Amino acid sequence: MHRLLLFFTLLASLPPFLHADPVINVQTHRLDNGLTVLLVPRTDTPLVHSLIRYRVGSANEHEGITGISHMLEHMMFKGTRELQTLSYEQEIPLMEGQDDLFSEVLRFRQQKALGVPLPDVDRQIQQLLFKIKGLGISQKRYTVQNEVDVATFQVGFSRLNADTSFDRTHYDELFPSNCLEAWAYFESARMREPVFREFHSERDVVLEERRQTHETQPAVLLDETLLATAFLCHPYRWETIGSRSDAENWTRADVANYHHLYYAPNNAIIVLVGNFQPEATLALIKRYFGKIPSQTIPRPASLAFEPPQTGEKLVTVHYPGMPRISLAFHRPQANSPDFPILEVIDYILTGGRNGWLYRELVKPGLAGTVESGNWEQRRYPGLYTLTATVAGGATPDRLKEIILGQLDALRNRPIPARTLEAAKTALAGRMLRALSDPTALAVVLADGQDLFGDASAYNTYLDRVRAIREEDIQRVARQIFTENNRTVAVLIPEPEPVKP
Amino acid sequence: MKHTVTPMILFILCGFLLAGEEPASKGAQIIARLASAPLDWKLPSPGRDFQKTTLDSGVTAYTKADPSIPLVRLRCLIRAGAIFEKPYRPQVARLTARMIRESGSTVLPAESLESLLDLYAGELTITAGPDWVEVNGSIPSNHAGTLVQATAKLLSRPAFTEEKLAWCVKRIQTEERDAAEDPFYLCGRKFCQMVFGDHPWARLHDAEGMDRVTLDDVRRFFGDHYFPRNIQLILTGDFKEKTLLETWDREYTETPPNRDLPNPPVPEPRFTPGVYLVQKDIAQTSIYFGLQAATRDAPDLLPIQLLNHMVGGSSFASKFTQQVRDKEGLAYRVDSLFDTETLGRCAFIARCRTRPETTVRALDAMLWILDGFREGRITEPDFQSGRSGLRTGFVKRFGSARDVLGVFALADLLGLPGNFFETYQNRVQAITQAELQAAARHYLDPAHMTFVLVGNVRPLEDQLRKFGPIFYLEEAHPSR
Repeated sequence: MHRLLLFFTLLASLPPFLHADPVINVQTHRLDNGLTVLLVPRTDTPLVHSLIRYRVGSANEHEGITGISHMLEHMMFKGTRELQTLSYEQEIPLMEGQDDLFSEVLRFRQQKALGVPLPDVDRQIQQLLFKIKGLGISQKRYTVQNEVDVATFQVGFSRLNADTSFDRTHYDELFPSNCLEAWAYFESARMREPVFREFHSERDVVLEERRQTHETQPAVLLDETLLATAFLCHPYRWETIGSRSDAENWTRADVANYHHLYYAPNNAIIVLVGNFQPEATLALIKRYFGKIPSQTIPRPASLAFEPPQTGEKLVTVHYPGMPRISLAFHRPQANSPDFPILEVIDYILTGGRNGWLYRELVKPGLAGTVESGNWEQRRYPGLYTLTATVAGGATPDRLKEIILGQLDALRNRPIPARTLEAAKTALAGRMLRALSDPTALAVVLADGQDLFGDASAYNTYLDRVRAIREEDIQRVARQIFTENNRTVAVLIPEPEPVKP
Repeated sequence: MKHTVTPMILFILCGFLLAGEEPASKGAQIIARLASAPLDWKLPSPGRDFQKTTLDSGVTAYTKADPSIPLVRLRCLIRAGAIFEKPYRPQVARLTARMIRESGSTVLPAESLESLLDLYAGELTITAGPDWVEVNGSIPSNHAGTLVQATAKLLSRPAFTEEKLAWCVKRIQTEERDAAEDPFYLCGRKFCQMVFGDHPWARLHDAEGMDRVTLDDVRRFFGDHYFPRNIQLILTGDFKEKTLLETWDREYTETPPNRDLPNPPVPEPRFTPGVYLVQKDIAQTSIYFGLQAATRDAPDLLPIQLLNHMVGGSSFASKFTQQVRDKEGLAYRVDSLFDTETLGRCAFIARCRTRPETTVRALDAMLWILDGFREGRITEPDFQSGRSGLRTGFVKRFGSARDVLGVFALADLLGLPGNFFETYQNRVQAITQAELQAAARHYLDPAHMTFVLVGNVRPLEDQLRKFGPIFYLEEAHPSR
């Protein structure tokens, strides 16, 4: 028993937070064309992790082209004028032919949407789509399919992937260090002159992705409805994948225009972490990327300020699945001084097994899970979301009552000093874990450069977390967790369909 | 079993056969040339690049200090996964691992453990997989001793209680119920049930029957498997090796007695050919198909790995992705698994999700690709490209100290030969087309395969008959 006493004595006496701030040897360079390059050389690995961030995501879209940032990400794997083709020149008329036919498809669809009487319109659309497929098959004579992947994997790449979020698009790769110049050749070529071949079949892939990740996933369906309800005008109101109807009507020109607008060196950040010689690598990057011209980036989506919400919004989704409830509150963007305070609040509510909501909902078996979400909305004011799945005979209303009770406690009662210190230390620990993993480190550095203009902003972040006081928690909780600022979405399963 | 395909599909599929005969583009040639310099790298070895020590208790410790970030990571591998369960005690491996984490130790109650981790920003998870249990933890380095102490106490003197057992059973049941609302997860669960039959792996994703496990079962399973010689401890990060290992030794006491390492039963493969359907009115069909296949001591281990790499294991460079996703636009993700790093007999698994109306077409395309490997229709450039990818991609397993130590610990756990990694790339380079084809013929016989589909499949029943006799499986509604 005396051992236990010793533990509690330790708990009371040990200093919290980190004993030393982490130091990452990051070299920051800016090329004449505006390209930012962050280099973190390492000698303890034979590999190089690369991350290219383009500062564009679904928040840069507008209705009609929602989801196009993500479609462009897919199309960036379709090669260049030299790669994935045996004759780019012979592909051009075949791609233009498909574009012309699809313009006809769009014309028919528009007329149909306007109620213009057209005989056999659906059949005509089908015929046009069939012709597009035929031209696509003809184009395959010149296209070396998947060559980007095959050629890079063949020489040792083990990751060649990308992902799109609300505010940015990432291209991340992992390769042996002897592939560095091959990486520079490939990435600079697709920044400069990608070719959007196989556009229509890739649209099918994206629609299939939408089915897989959204339309058959109750949790995501609920989140999609939540976003659309909580936001009135900011582009955060649609998911990164966009709407199905927009996806069905994107054109190849839409993607090309979007690439032209946003995929410029002055809108990109390259991060390399791994085994390379920094001077030689910088020279290599200058040689391959330095001649790509910069351009004027369109005005930011932040001009679409979200008006203050004036009352609680409620929405219900019926879909087969676990009943669940989401509560969302408008919250500040990542570079706001209040953002780390909200992160501390979030840890107090949902972090670990001592999180208040875990303790009140999961431990007694009222909820299967409780978690926070929508953290990827970072550049502009976004949402803070709490979602719980119903279990143990509870109801969504009961869970809402308990969650609101805990939020009230944050607003009105003193936070125990130990709880606050534990939350702050946890955030510091989370940052250490990110810094110790090369892939996550690249994202931390890109975030710092992108949102704060300083790749080493993680240190400032740790200082800001360290300085948080109890009154900060109450102030931010009182600002954010109000009824007027709240949107509640509930998923309730339909009765099981009658089997034929 | 031969599969009939329509002329249109045949036309499209022929593209797959021709693809490999296409010459590389100028860009691909440039990539090959720019990456042609040999990689300056030596395979890490114990003593030179990291320390491997057998502690007094019998635990094997792999350590590598790196002061660059003030963080310590701990990992343990324990041969105590589901494969060691007795048939009448389903999920006892998972429950034991869960209870060790949730119950705390007799000398460190769960509440105290959570307080320590909370205060010092520590993380600790314990999860049971098909073969082994993994303990993963990390903590800022000034509190590394706390994490090591806590782990040693949990793994030597767990505090199993009836109350926690009931809670853990309920938690796992809730988690499985939640997970099954994803049709793809449900499909994988049903596939395991069909393919592995009476084997514990049939219940990997299933909470059925867990109520029968008693506290004595958990205690017995712990005593039978959590003995020191069966544990591998991996420490990386910012620490002093001697201090941390002494801490471990000091706290890791009163352990279950050492015994011979348990060998799980590896039954002969059993086949359950047929098409097993779960009807759900949803917009996408989830597909799993495959069969029990190979063990890790198979003489054709490397051809198997190359086969999987080329079929569906190498992401976008694989034949599945090229055909099903990129050529035909039928699926967002399509892949294969053939994981021979296991103590049992692994399954070959092919899987994807597609629209109801393209379900049969996707199956045709995937089977056609498997037929291509079986019938030797792989072109020499394709073969060389795949083999080169497997060989050069090998280095990815050694990307960090944590990776390196994990690879060597796993090799010991699996009993791989001492020179397995040293000779790996040369042995891959020596694989022949004939060996690849022989592996495909040996393991990928469609007549033995089990097909599981979840989705709006009832209207497809007639078209699916060509893959085997049709059976319907029950599906518990996830909201119940």
